[in-house]
Amino acid sequence: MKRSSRDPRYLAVLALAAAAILLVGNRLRPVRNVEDGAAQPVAAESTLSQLTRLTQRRSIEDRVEFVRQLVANRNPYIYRLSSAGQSAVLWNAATLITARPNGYMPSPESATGPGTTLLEASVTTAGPQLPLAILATSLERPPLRIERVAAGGFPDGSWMLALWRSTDGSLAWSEGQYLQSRRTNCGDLMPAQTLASTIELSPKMAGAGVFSLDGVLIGVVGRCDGGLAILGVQAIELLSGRTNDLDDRLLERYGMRVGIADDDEHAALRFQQGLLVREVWKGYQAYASGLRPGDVILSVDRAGLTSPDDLQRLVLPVAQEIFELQVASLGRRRTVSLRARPEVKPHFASAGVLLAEKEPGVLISKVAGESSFAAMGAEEGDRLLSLDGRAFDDPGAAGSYLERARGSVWATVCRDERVWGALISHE
Amino acid sequence: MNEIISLGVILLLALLAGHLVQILGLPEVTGYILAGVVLGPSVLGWVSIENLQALGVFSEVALGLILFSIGSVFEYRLLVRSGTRILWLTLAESTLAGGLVAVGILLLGQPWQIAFLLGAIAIATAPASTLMVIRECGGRGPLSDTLTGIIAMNNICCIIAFSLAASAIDLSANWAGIGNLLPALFQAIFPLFWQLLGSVALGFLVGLMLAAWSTQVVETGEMLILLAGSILLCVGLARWFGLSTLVASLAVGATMVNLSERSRKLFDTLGGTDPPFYAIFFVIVGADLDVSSIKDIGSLGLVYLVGRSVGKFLGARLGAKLLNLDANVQKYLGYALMAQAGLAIGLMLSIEQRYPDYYPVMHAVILSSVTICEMFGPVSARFAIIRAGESKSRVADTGSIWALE
Repeated sequence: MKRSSRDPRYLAVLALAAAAILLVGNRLRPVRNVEDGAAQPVAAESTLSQLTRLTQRRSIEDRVEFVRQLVANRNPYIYRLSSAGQSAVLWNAATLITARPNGYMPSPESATGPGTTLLEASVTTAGPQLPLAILATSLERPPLRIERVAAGGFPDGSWMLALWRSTDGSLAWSEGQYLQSRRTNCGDLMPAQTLASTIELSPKMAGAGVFSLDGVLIGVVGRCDGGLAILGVQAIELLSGRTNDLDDRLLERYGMRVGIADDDEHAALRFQQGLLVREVWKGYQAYASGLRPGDVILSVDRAGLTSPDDLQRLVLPVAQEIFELQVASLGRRRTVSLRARPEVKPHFASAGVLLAEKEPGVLISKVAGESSFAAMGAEEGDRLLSLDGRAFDDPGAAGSYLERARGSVWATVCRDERVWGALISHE
Repeated sequence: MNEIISLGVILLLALLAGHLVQILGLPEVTGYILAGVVLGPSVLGWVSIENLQALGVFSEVALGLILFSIGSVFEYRLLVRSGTRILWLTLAESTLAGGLVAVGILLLGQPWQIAFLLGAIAIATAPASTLMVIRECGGRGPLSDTLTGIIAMNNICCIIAFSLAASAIDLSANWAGIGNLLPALFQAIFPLFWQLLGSVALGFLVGLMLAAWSTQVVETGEMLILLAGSILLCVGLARWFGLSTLVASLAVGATMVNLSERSRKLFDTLGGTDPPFYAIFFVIVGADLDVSSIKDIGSLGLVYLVGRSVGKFLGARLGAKLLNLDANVQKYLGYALMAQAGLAIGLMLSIEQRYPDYYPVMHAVILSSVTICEMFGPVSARFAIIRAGESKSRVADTGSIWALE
């Protein structure tokens, strides 16, 4: 180095000052939060470069035309499911992928594609705890396999397009930029690869296909953590490769989880045999038939139950329409008719409105970290529906019941569509 | 066509085009750019958008190297000798160019936000193509030295002016009473300081490392590896921190030239080995240009183009006269400041992100003007250097600037 003015101590001070500027400045600078949908994205350099080319090659009008072309090319791959009222993407000749529907999806479901194309599609994998549902189709002339790529295959900041089919059958789209992929737990699908982007997801986009500007499928809009998320191709492959065991199929078809009770549960719920209903989902057959967490299924069509495998008959492909279940609730017996398929009910009342039911139960405003409620998975914002089978609407009454109770209490808690129960040990 | 074939085609046709335009007395840079226009998506399409995307890394390296070279003008002894004059001259031509454009746009009835942003962008002069013309002409003398200093300062001026305009727009949009003043000021002013101070700090640190390490490196090849690695590191880190790659690369060159005894050797070595990078860079610049955009220029674009050209020309002339600079600098500096490219495009794209309401109006203006300036700017710069008598291969006895070299 030159000798004059290059005193190492002087340079060391300058270097420290430069490092401090970088560290402090980097900490102070406003950083885009990918969780915040309102934040304006700062495009990556690669995107700026790509945009340069796009903007220089075409005027803005041409860009719109470019997107229109792309949309037209993807048209054959986007369907609309009439009963679920949402879109689906043709994954291959035999399969449609869509978001988990809100509530039960009838099978077969009718899927409308471009023009007047009408498909019959049967649900093969679905469930209240899965972000997506898979339907098998009856395509006679299979289209070309759709090109798809996992998130790692395209750079951050790339432009992408969400495509869905509106109620009138036309295609709608929304442009945005890919930000990053994450591995998150989406209900029972874990870890699921979700893609963060600048596209603002809205309910009408459920089941939309998300494509790169090259027309390659990147993901599908599914339901995750109470909202919508773009599930990447890897997550869809993981889902389509799942083996459906009995638990999954019971959850998919009836919206219930059933298990063998332990000794404490036997004692608290006063039964010695049968299978304990641990969880039910609103909008599904188990809930509609009146089954609730804490109920004990003693028999199905008069055949006694000793293990969950005895419920296989409920999920056989040729399952009958109605099953008769003997159920015990805190020692009292009753008969429940469980339908294999839902009764078709009109979505709207005659006046054209859908009225929400009053929310039952008591709002849980806080859950102590070490408590039994925390152990059962209850969180702030959930609703406590019942204790030992007694429904509560008044926080004071529920609190005093918990205070007075001796031993264990069977608590039922609700979060959105999910209702589940567990024993709360009273200390 | 895959990327390797397109790379080969780019290099060979760039060479061919460079020779062809020399016959016409035009700078090689213009030949490279024209080759890019012909090869690119807007004419033949042999080099596709995807190829350009894949070759983008070459552009980054080349631009980093060019700016590193320009950073050498910040050598302390040169700054002491002529730094103040360069600064005043830059302020004169920048203020007049930016001011004329802004006033013209305001007179056409556009909002002040668009006028300020376009005025700030008008200040930028393309450093790469201008420096390449100086190199190609072997420019040595008052004009070439002044020009090299100005293209370094001028782009910093542009970034400052743009950040100030953006700050004013943000402040006016986010103003919610005096109670909100400090947060609003911070949000508006911070990017300016970050872009300048942060970029200089990063460039200084990388330059310091480069200068220290270069004392241990003997072979030319190793020196080039060290240099390329440092430039890539600097550009990559600048992106990572959201800093200006332009200012950071300049700062690396400036640090190196002031701290290392071997800096001159390094800059000379660099000059002998980097032409392939530069050829690729300018062909890609050309391929990115859309000549059809010229037809969309409109009255705003004409005001921008005329205001900028007149402002640069008059500002340089008046500034040089007031500073009592060499007669050739007074006469020809303005001609050499016409080129405009990457920084203007980059700022326009940041406008799309930050101010999408103004983008549609500004998009056509900038794209069409950049296309014109980048095609004719190098020709104008070469004209200035040759006319000033600073070309190594002097003008033939005919006195024509179009004479063959």
